[in-house]
Amino acid sequence: MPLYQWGKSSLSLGSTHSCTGNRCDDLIKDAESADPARRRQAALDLAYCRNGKRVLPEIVLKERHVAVRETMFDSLLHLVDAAMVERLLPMLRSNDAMLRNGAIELFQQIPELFAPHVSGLLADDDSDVRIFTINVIQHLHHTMVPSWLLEVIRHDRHVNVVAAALNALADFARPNMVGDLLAVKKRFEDQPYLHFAVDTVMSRTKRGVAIDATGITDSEFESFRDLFYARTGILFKENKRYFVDKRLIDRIHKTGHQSFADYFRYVRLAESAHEFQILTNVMTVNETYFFRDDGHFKAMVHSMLDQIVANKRKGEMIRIWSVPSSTGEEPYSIALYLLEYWPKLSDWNVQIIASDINTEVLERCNKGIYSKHALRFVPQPLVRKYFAELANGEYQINLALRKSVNFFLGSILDAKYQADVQHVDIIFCRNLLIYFDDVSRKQAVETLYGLLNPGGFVLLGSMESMSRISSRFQIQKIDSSLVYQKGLV
Amino acid sequence: MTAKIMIVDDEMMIRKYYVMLLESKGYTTLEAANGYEALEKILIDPCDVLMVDINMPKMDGLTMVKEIRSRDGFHHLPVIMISAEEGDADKDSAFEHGVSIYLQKPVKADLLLQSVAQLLIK
Repeated sequence: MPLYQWGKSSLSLGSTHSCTGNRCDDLIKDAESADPARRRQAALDLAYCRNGKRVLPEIVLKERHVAVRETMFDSLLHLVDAAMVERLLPMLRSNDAMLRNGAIELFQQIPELFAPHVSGLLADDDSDVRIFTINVIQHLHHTMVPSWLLEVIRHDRHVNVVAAALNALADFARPNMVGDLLAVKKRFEDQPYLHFAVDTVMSRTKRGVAIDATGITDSEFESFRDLFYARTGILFKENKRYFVDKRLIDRIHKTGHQSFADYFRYVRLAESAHEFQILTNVMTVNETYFFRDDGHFKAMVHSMLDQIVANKRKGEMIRIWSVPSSTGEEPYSIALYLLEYWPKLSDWNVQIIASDINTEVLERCNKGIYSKHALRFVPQPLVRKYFAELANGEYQINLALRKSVNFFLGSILDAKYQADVQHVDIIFCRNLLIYFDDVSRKQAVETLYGLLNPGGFVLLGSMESMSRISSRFQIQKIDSSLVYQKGLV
Repeated sequence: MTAKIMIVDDEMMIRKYYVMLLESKGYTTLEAANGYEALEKILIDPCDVLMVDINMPKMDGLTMVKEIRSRDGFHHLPVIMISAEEGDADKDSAFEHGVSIYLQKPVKADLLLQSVAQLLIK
């Protein structure tokens, strides 16, 4: 039976790390093993070992394998304290760009621990160290960032250091900075690039924020946005304002509330979980259709699956995850492509799982009923083969296909659901990350990375890009599609 | 058809500056904020000259050049490497990686345009 038919999900929980007695010594040996996979596992386990703090800052210096080193930095982040920051600071002077970048990214995530060093580093004799410090602080969540950057543009004499500070200041531009900005032009009269940079920052100091509210005020929108983000990880930006306001007003009316304030009080209550779920449903509905962005499905049957089975033993399961499943068009498209276009399907067991945070769409997935419009890109012979036309003109996908996909409720940001989706070979995660902010996006991608088998793939929407989120994956171009592969180690 | 130049630098303002200079001379430009993003873009939309900052987060300039050069169709792509660092260490490794021209920041506008023009003639 090539496509796994789901009864109920019974996937096991993953292991947890622990470290006791002799295991500690073994870890240190493993951390110096010639085998990168062992070193990586040791790096992971050292995060939970009493020797981790001592050993990791030393071994990371010697590590040359990219994935192993990244894991070491993850473990360092887990262990870092004030004393360790002191030991890691010299990495800003390293000629090894990958090591330095690892340190920069780590420092960016520990604002309180890094802040005490900023003034000293910005006064360092080495202009490169000053530039790397600016690279850290421009992404540091700390109230002092604008003041530090202003100090640099006021006093630093090195054109490249001032250039880096101006670039970073663009995100914090305020009208009261104009005097300092103009002074830079004076100090560096013969540097056309700095003049260009000053003008760019100046233009940002003038930009106002004025968005018309249509019944929901700015601060009400912000309260709702923050609550929704805290509970779902989805952050609505200003460009979604119209969409959000319209749906909010609709829910306010339908629940009989008089104002946003009344409704908001109601929806925040624990007893209103049901209303919050409805709100989640209406806020996350997207129109989709079968065989959307079919380059990915073609890449799957023409190349990715062949690469995956090359590293599997006969009989091993191949697991494909569609997240978010939305109304089911994507996971069912995966099933159709496998059945129709992957000749090796008969030799392998393939499980398809699909999840969404929207209960309403999951119900529709299980029913498998679609409009003719949703099937517009499915060839007619396949429609006839796999769908039954209903009396109302809609189409229902056949029972065997409906049983071939296991749908479940869950967010990729919620740890309790992750236990159900381990050891995945291909993850379709298209047009989801665009709804997240940088922090959730990074967290989601880390999760996907952790759930993938070595050599597994992630697919993003055609307008999305992995490059601003993570560099853990190797990029492959298959036909016209970019896919992201986890390394085999 | 105009030549297409890809600009890879993590500093948004530097990219805008190079875009302004290059587009004023009629070139088409593509931008990326790090090597990894550049790789994503260049595989879909190849360019005629690559301008890369050596120090970038995620994937640094040298790693990126090595990675791109290893892919079919990109073995001979002309590369301008730009560095803010002083000293010759970067310069030496840049040439070892097959970089065509190495420039020190801040890059003078005329030198930049001259370098691009020179690589396009070859």
